Amino acid sequence: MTLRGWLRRKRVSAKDRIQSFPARPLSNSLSENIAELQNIFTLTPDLVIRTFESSFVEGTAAIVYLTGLVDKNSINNNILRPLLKQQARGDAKILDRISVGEVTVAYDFATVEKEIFEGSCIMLVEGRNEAFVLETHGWPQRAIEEPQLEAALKGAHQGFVETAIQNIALIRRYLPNRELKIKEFLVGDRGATRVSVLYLRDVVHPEVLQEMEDRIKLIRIDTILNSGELAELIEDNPFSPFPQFMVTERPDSAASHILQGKIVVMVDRSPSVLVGPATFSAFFQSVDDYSTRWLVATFIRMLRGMAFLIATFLPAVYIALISFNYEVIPLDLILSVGESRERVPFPPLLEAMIMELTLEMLREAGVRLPAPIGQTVGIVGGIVIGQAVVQAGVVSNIMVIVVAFTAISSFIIPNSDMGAAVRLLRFLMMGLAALFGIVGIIVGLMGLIGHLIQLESLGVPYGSPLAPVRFSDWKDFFVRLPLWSMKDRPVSSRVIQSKRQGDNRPRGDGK
Amino acid sequence: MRLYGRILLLFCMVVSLTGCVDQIILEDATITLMTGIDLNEKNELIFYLSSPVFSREARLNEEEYGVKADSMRQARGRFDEMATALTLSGKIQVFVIGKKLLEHPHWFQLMDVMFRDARFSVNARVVVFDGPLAELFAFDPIDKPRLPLHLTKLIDTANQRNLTVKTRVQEFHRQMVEKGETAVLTEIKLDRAVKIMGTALLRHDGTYAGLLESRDTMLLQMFLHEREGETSMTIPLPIQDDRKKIVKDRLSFFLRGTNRDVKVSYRNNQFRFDVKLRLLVDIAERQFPFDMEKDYKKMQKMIVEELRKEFTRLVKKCQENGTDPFGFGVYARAYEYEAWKKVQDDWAAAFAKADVRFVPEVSIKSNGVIK
Amino acid sequence: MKRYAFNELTVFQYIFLIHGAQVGIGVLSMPRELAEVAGTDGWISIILGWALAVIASLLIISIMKRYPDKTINDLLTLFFGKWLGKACIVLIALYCAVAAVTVITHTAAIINSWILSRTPGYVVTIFLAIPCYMIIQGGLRVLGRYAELIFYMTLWMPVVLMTAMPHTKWLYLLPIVKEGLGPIVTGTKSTILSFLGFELAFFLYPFLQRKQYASLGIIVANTLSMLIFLHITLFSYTFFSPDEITQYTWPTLNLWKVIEYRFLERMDIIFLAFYLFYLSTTSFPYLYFTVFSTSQMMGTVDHRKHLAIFLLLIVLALWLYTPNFIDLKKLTELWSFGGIVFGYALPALAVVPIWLLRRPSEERKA
Repeated sequence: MTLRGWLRRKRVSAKDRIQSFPARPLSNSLSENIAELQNIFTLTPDLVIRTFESSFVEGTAAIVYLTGLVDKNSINNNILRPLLKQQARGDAKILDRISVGEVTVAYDFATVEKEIFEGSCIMLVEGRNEAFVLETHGWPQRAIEEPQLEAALKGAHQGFVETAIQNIALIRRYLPNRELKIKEFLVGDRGATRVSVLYLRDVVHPEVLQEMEDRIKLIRIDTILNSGELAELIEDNPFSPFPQFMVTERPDSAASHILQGKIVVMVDRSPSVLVGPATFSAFFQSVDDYSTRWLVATFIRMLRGMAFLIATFLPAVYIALISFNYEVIPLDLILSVGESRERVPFPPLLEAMIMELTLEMLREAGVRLPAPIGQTVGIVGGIVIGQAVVQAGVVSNIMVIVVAFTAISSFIIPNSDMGAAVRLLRFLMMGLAALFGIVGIIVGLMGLIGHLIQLESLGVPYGSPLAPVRFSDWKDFFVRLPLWSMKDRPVSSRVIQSKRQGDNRPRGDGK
Repeated sequence: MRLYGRILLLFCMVVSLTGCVDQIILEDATITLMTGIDLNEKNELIFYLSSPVFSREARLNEEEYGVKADSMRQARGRFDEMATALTLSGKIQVFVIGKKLLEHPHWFQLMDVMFRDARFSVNARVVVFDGPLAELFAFDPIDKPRLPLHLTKLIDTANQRNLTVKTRVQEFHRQMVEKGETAVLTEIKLDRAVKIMGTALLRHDGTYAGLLESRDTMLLQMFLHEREGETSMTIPLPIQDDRKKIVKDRLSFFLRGTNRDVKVSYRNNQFRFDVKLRLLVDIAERQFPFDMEKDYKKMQKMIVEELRKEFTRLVKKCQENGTDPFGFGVYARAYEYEAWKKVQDDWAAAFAKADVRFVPEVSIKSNGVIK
Repeated sequence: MKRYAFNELTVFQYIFLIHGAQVGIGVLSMPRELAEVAGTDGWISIILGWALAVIASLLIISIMKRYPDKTINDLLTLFFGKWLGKACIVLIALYCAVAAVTVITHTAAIINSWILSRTPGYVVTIFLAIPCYMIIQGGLRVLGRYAELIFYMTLWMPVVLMTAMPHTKWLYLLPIVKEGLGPIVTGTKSTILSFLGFELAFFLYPFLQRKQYASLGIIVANTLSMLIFLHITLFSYTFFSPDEITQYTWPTLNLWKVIEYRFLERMDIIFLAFYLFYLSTTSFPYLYFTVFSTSQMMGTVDHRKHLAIFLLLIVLALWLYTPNFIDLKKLTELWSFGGIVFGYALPALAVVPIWLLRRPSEERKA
């Protein structure tokens, strides 16, 4: 109770700190408006105010923009040049001369301020209490690249960038459909972040959508820098180790999820998008599954399922078998394990902990380092330490095999968030196994199942299609049946329109 | 509520420290691979144990102990006094019984702990050793792996060729408790190397009744398991009985398939078993000329005759010994329940009187790749 | 009035909840208990027991059908008034509590004698209580999902048991009906405990989504359980000789001891560890309905507090006193007795008056 109250108090005070300006209207006088703007933008060296005379306006006009956020070519060529050109005015209005696509009109300073921060160019004209907002976005941005974390072998090689508009464009390329709706929200009081919610209106269940909107609307925060931050603010169970939203950097994957009846949330300035409601099984799927042949894809899916089990339980099983239930190990193996364990001074739990932690450190060290050094670290760690540690008798060589095996397995899981969750669970299971052996592992498994079947993502069961069991979704679960057999969208994402395709079964020979 | 939760969590953590009491780390364990019971000259029980040693500093990779005790559990205490680590019984592979012990009835009670304690392995092979057990446990040949492993492999492979039976502890329990059959065990002997002698026959009270040599074991196995492993028999055939010949008239065949059918009847206070054995055989070896194409029916008949003779002899031997390794009693119970009920407590005697008739049917399926 | 709409169960969840509650501690000792009474004909008793259970189940459903939105607790208050009704609810809660405690103590005892021989029983119970709380606090909906998932997860076990096939001797089953029908009928009594679980339909019925499948579902659940019992019992009878089977407390576990693979030995330990799942699907519904009844009686909506207290009490009780094997037997007998009253006698007695009362009473009161 007290903790929650404390949190709430802090949140309110954070809101109070933000100076909110009353929506002051623009005045008729250009000089007054400029003075006011200069008042707002103090200590802003990148603010450019250019006043000029034009034959198209009575008196003076001014354009205001932040120099780094705009496309200078566009301002020079499409705004200034036509306006400065001496020409007979005729019937043309000001806007007729300006060759910029999007032009709106603002009447108060709050809007003007917001637009300037977003990279628009504001034009003020003497004698008019309105401002023209000219769309001239041109902030620095990265070219589209292949996403690093989710490289695909056969899929598209485009990844999201840091600009929501572009990201939306990338998705639209896959879904040129009028039912693709985009709802925009501004989240954050200090740096309003544009959060866009993309979905297919005739597919998504309205309740799920409403839930998502409500949660986004409730956020009160300075600003959101990343979609990961947003996910943490709107997820269902903050204490779960499992990611409850899927985070992807791939437009094709996002589009495929939208088609499955899910909702994509895009945070401006973040190159990854959230997909929800997520199910446990979705984290074990990759776009490549659908572009390889289905038998191969099925095999890989099963491999991943196995990898999940191995990555979670193998060290725990090792501990349990070595220190409790040695009867289960076959005779020949027990002799060789016994021989290799004989020199190790640590109990199995500690032995496993040492190796697992070493491995985690190696991984973490390699992640932040530049690629060539990272590889070196990997080699040094993997081969040198692994070899030396066994020869020194610190850990047994069976343990090294176990650790290597779990490491490989945890990297097979295509989603890195899920991989991280699995690595955490592994330590929990190791602890339980050290306490009660196999019984401990089973109790852990029971708890894990208990958690998974209760977890929900946007009010949709997370464990689906496993719990509650939905056999119709099993076509795309452990196995990936041929695409033409998946005629309906998955039930697990709770859709209102479920038909996905007609009868496309290839019959050969055109019969 | 949250406070209670925290207290509970703390409590769990404290309690969990006691959770480790069952922990026995592998290297702290003396994993018993072979254990044995024998009697010494003064008729005192001696228990033996053999277990692998994992230490690199030890020059031998095995430790063996023999202690005097009254029961297996008591013996464990004695072992723990001597062995490097805690003796564990979950991986016993071979359970050896000295032949001397088998002279005494009701020794089976000694094995009680093996069934009462759930952690005991029931998959150990039960073996009878002809000789003092101390010799076997001290035996350490340089050209063989650890003795327990060597024995395990020896028994398993010999059983595959049907030279002996493979009776595990669980099965032994069944054979001992079941009224309608008597136990059969592997018998070994130490003779420069460990040698499989054949199959030991036990009476219902656990006393030693006799030895079946590997040839008889094959017949027994043929009856018991229809077809399991590989059975290859060599039989003499009376074509021209010339004793002076070096190359004798022998025929070997492989069993390709067996099918047994037992008919039970009870008349005049006597059980009668008609056993029909259908054998499919492949000729593997023939050391005499014979025109198979013309006379293969004759050959079949000869084999049948030979097998019938052998089987009858085997049954007779068992009947005289007071044993029923075939489990005819089970058939008697299944088909003649009323009669069985009267004799079930002394089945061996009833079986000794029984009339057992074997009717083998042989069909030669293959003659090999030469004529 | 749909009070239980939030916790709706699908037909499959309903089936597996009942089936899960049925397959529990009974299976472990059933082959021996039957063999003691009926010899190798015990498997016929299972079929008879199944028939009885199906009849009782159908009676229960036919009662509940009249009041589709009410659990047995609501019905009792409806018929007996507030105070007498509450007294009845206490009895029912007690019955569920006995069932839950029996299963939990058995679980601890089995683990103690089979795997963790020196860990105190209450420690095991504490650790079992954690996932237990996690799952039951989610309510019936989560329990339903759990039961369903566990059913599929444990499907491998009967299949693996098939590998013991070469060790079996079907001759042991002959002759069928060797001692006449008497022992077989007597044997049916010991199957009653194992089939208990169908009486949960008293509670489950109002939660069921598609009520038209209630009767079919409960028959399927009973049949599934019967098949499992039959499978295990027949296997035990053919694996152990009839003279030997009565010696084992839990023959089902001994059965697993002989299964051995080149890569895995001592399957019984793994089997038993997984059997915890079966035991959990038995104890969880009873635990849930204990606290469901008590919290309903106290008028609280949230059952979690009661659950925590109840679990704590169990742990505390086991801490203070470790039940010995006689206590376990007595507990089982108590549960059997309660089950006969609640599962068989109550529906048999209640079906006539309720059938006579039919609709009018419901309309008047509701």
